[in-house]
Amino acid sequence: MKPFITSRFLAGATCTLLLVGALGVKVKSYATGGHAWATNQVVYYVNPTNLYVSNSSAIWAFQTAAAAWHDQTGANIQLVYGGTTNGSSITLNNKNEMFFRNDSSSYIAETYYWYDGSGHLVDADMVLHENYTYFAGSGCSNGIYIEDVAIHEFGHALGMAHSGVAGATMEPSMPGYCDTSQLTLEADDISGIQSLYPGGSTSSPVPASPSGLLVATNSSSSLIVSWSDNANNESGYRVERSSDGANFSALVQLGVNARSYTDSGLSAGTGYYYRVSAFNSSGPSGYSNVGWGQTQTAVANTAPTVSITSPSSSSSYAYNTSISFAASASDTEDGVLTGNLKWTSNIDGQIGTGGSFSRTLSSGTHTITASVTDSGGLVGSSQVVVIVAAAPVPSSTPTGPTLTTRAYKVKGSQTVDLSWSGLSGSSVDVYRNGGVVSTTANDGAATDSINKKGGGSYSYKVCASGTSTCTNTVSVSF
Amino acid sequence: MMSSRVAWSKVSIGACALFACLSAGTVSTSASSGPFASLDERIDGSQKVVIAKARSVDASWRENAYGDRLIVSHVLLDIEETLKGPQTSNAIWMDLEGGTLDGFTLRVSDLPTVEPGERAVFFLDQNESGITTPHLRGQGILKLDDNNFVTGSGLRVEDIRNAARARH
Repeated sequence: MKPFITSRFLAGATCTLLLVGALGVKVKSYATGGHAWATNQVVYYVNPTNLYVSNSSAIWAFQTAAAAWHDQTGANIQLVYGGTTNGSSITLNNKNEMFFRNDSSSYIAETYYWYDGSGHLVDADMVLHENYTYFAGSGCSNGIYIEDVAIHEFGHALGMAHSGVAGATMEPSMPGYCDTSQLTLEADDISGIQSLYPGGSTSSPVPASPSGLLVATNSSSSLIVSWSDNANNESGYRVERSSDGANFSALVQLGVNARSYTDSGLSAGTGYYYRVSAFNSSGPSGYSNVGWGQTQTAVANTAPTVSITSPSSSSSYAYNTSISFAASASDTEDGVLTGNLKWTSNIDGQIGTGGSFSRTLSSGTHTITASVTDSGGLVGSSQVVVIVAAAPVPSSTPTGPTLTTRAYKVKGSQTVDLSWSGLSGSSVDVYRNGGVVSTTANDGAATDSINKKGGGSYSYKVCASGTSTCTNTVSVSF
Repeated sequence: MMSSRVAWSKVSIGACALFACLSAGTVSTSASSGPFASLDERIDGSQKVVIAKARSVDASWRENAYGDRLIVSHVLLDIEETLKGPQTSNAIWMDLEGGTLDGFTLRVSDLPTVEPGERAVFFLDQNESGITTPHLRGQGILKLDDNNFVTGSGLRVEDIRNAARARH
């Protein structure tokens, strides 16, 4: 048996009882910290993830515990289920979160509650330590019912302190493993909560019964239950489920005006019965009609098929050629999936999506894969090989000083304009047919006027004056 | 399995005074199931036991490994007497979840508050980071009245002192 130490068993808590006696407050009665919520509807959220029971069972347990503080007391306060949360830490965020924590704490549960400068509660978080085995609703063995602990902790969340009355839910101890007695609030608990939230009433009639319950198939693992909300004074709805139509078990508790519930995590091809009742502080309504529904039969999923129509396999393309890609995809279960195709190249990575597109590829032998994933997670694909020629080698460009020329005639005399770059120094030597014909400023341009008419060929180069650093040699002809 | 009427402290607490609860064999039986640590178990289980008065309480925001962002009270205790553990100084710091800061007050359901001037027997543990906290959370603080009784009970400081001497 695990150690069963809980905040509810602590000597400190016992001291609270004894302390209030010392302070002159009536010993052996409820105690409050003097702090209450400023509203009469406190929304709470449940993170149902835990090691022991299903999420829906955990939620049901918290809802059952929360509802008791209003339904059994008539106090002017309601704990309203706001849905699930991913929260798992204690923070002042004005969001009341209930969660489990897989730690080594030897305590069962604690409630951390905050109040502001005016004394009003503003936040309460409840943590249940998973060092204990939890159950919900039934089947407990050497463990603890979540609802049995949560009702005590919800009392703290509402401003209740520990009570000294034996048997009271707010007594800091529990009778033992698998106890269910805490779920029934004692007169001491009721007096305490009514002192914090006076003005409530238990005289409201029970709500009208829901009717027209229908069960609709949603998938191979879920059914949708819907009904008519005939009440205007309900606190919520309780949904029950049965496999035989005779023995029903509590499934979930829903909020005000709930009209449907999706029951998930069911077995494929299996029938289930459902019934629903409304409830308020005066009690439950009658049940709705019983509805029956069956989940879809599980069908073995098949992978989608993909067919590439372009390019054809082993086709070759010149460098920088735009290549057309086209394919179709279909799936037995999902139908046409062409639009979901994903194209990849083993060289270029992802190259496109969908049924068709065009683009260039880098040089090399590409294995092109078109693939698609169906709703069941199976992948279909097809491949082609595409060869793209190497990029042309760029022509070599001269390096170093360069020379360009333009040959022409002026009144029949041969004339050559020279322009150069890349030479240093203030002057250059202009060579014609290997000999210096002029030395001129290194301003990048010069004109060689050859005092000759008719034809002829010459070679030119320009060098930094007095050096062997020269441009390329250029030939001109007339 | 033991009878729940014997095994669980709910019955024991309701049936006996704190002194009896802390010392009677029936409580040991209960404690073996875990609900309530006897005085001997608190003395044995804690690293240090002191009689001390809270000199000051300073609250600060702390974040722990679980992402909890809590107000924690840093309580400076003036040690009057060390009943267990090394007598290394006349004062010791103790951290206690809960407190008031920035206009908000945090209370924890299983922890008492400690105010400056309050005297108590403190059963203390120190973690690897050197932070001292009450042993078994709320069970580690037994507040004292002006007559040296555990508040509201018949248990005297002298009883605790004798128990500590007998065991250490």
